[in-house]
Amino acid sequence: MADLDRLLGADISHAAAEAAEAPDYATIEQRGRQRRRTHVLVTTAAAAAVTALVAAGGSLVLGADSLPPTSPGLASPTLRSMPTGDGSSKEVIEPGTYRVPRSAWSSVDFTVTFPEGWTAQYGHIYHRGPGEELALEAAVVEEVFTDACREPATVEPVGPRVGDLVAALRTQPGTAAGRPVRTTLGGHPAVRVDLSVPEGLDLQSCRLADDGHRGLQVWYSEAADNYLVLTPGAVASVYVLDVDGTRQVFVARNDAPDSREARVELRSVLDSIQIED
Amino acid sequence: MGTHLVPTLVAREAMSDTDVVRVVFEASYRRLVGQLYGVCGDLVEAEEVVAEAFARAVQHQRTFARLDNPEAWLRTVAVNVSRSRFRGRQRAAARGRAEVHPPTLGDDRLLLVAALRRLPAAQREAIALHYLADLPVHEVAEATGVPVGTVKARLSRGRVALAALVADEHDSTEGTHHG
Repeated sequence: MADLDRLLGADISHAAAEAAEAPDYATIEQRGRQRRRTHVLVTTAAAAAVTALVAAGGSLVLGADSLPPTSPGLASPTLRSMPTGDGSSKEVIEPGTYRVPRSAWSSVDFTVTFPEGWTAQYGHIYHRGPGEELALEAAVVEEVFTDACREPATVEPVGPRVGDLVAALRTQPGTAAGRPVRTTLGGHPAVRVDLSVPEGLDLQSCRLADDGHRGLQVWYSEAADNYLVLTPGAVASVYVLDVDGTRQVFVARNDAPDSREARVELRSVLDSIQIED
Repeated sequence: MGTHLVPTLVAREAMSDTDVVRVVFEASYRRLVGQLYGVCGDLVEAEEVVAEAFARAVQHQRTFARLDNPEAWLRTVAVNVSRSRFRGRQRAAARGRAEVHPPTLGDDRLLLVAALRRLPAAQREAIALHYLADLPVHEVAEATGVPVGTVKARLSRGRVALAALVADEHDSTEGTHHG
């Protein structure tokens, strides 16, 4: 132990600091600015959809699982490639069935069928309608924020099982999480958890208020550089799938739950998802 | 290395949010890399997690500019980033692509860093931040997000485990030299 005392000194940190080469700060600044723009796009789009719904006097309930399953009405024998774009603008998705290969957003290959009126952003966030009333995205979630509202924005790792993520979402401070519902998606067992901003929570006290936004940060996927952000009044349904031992997440958002047409359409898209072997 | 000081909150109030991040970068980058080196066990890895922490500071620059202790915030973020990257590195190591980039250190110090890498992450973070980065226990607790008592327990258990690992590394090195 005496030898350890001799070795455990600050000279190691000093040597490392001396050896460190400071990168070009402009590169770091550009990365941070780009990420802020991405974040603003996601939260602003969600806020716009909520504003439109509030103006219409509606309340937000996804409720997609309460509807009978529908068959995808536009199934096509031809698998298309999803338009990717550069993220700064949304790309129109032609009606049809698309193959989405595994990526930082998805641990599995899957296909999904979209009717007319949907757009893709970054190739992985899918919206419908001018106010983006419906949304779908895949996600690989390995950690969640320790608190969705308060500073500091620190994360904690989540175990690899479906139950680990479901438990983490249900106990995450800041959000309101619904009762887990066993279901299926893409031909695999899944658990759905509905997340929302709790009634009475003053979002001005949350960390996003400093950036001029009202919302809660549930998770951040570093690999995909994408946040899951909840905005007031909205409900995000998180589907946590067990794909032969691999966990995969899909998030569905419906900001127009009073519209049967919207519910049926989102149900149709969810039901069209097929996980490829 | 220790002559660069982070500007005080009063001094920062006279700057734009953008300037605050840049000024803290110039004052703290190398020091933070030095502190994260023991946590990561790899200089390039430490540089990358600290750079990522600064990118997140830019991302949240309005909040960042008003922090009492921006360097502590960066350290906490960097430790968190290192945790998630460590899991990725474990996957990379399983594929045989792990790399190590040491600074200029004597053999005994490199042996210690090699032993540190074999410690459980929680103990490694506590040992590296307290003994190598010279942070008081309460700042280690802040950086790692656990109570002070937990840090003390990790330091105690970590020292015992590290002593055994150092001896093991030493034996392995001897075996390599003479085998």
